[in-house]
Amino acid sequence: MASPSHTRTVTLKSCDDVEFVLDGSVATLSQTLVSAMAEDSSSSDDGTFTWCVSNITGEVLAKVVEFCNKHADISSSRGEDLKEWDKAFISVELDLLYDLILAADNLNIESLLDLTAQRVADEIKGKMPHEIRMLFNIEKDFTDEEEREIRREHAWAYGGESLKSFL
Amino acid sequence: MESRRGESEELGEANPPLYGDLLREIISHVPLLHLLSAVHVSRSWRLAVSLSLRDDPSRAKPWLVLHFQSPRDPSRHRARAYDPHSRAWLHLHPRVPPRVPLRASHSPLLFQLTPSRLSVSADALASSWSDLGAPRVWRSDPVVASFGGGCAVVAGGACGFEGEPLAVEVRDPISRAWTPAPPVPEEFKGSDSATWLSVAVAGDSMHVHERMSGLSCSFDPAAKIWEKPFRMRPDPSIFYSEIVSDGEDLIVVGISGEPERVNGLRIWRVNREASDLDLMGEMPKEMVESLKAEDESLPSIGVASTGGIAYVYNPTRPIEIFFCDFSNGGRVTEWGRVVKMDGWDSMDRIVVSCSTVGIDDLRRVNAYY
Repeated sequence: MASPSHTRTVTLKSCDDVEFVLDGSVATLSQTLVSAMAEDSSSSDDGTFTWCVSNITGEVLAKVVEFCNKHADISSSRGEDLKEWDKAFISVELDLLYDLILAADNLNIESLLDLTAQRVADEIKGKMPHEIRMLFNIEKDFTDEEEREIRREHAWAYGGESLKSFL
Repeated sequence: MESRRGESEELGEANPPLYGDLLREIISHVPLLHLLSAVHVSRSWRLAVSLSLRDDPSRAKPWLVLHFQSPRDPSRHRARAYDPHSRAWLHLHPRVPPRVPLRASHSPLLFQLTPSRLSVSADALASSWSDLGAPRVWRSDPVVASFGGGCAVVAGGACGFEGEPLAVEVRDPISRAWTPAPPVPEEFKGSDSATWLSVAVAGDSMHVHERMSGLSCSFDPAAKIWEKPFRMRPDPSIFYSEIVSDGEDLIVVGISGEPERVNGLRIWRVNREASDLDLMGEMPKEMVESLKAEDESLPSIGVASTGGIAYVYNPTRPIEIFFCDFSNGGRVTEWGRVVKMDGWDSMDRIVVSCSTVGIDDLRRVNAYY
């Protein structure tokens, strides 16, 4: 069984056949890749490893690779600068954000998952339940009875003064 | 060279619903107040919210709560709460009975004492109150401890001429009656009021601690017995200290040097078996400096603590507030600064407390950002 090595290079292939070559140390940000490389018994010493991500497009994967390259680069990845960089990086349309969080989850990249989840959470803040449903394409699956019950429990949140002040 | 395919092909369609671990990850970043909306989105969202509330340790961190009462008009009550999970301050509108000064004892206990009743709040938000009736002897500024379930102790304070000096009364939770208990030990004469005594409830006992001298004593409300007083000073250079509890353990927070030249703030755990104090941590120097007033003095400190987190502040200007985390049961693992609150009004009397906060508590006090 081969262990994930920092000297190998990893080729990531998107579902629309766009390829990205990553340094082995950059790829270790992805737990999915780390596990895959560790399990890769057929590993030869040619130092290459290819992983197809069947549900991530080249456009999204390019963003993921950009993020990993930045975060793996110790010399530039420090404190406030990195925070600013992250902030600019994640200022994307909701559709791309959605794809990014799925990619972060799929490739199990903790720092990207954290960043994208925080951004999605920010979208939820101050929104009414029906607005959240609209935002994320969620079907309301409460029965009318449950809905009435919830409205009774949380009457203040549906019409109270305080909600108006934080919306 | 080998080619592999990633998993989870079923996620391939556009905007599939967020669910499972991914939804929980997102929910973990949503402040408690906004979860009120999230629970109404769908069944899977409601489940994700309840799991996050149950399993996320940062949700269990106590909130710092500041109540503001106008000295001229105690009916004007405002409150702010700091949520350590989202690092933000909220506004609260608790239903605090008007015209009676609000007091804080060991966190999260808030109380109001009038000649006709002692009211205690179960949490620092003052979201619900219990009326414990009136102790037999009226006194001002007593030490008050609550053990939950309606058991409480009122000790010391200044009494009227008909009162017994250093009176102590215990409220029996079954009979709901206040009964006299042996007085506060003589050693505390002249300092047996909340002005001078720090109070903590650890285990089944009430502990009192003279802030200036370190003289300490514990009282067992079931047996109505005071232990022998002793001087609890971890270090001779400590000139002011507060006690708080961490479950069964007693914690001491003290400042050393002189009021005009404070040189350190340290925290100890009382090791009861060895009747010794174990140093848990020392506040970083720059934080100690930030606690000091404009004239560089720091004659006293305030400490509010529960659940392994202690908030430390300067009672004369609780603008800079710091926290330390010892929730792993051992040494302090983190010192940090609480985000500053905006809209400060220093004219008001400020009551500081802390407690864990649930989603229903926020609902009861009409919280908002």
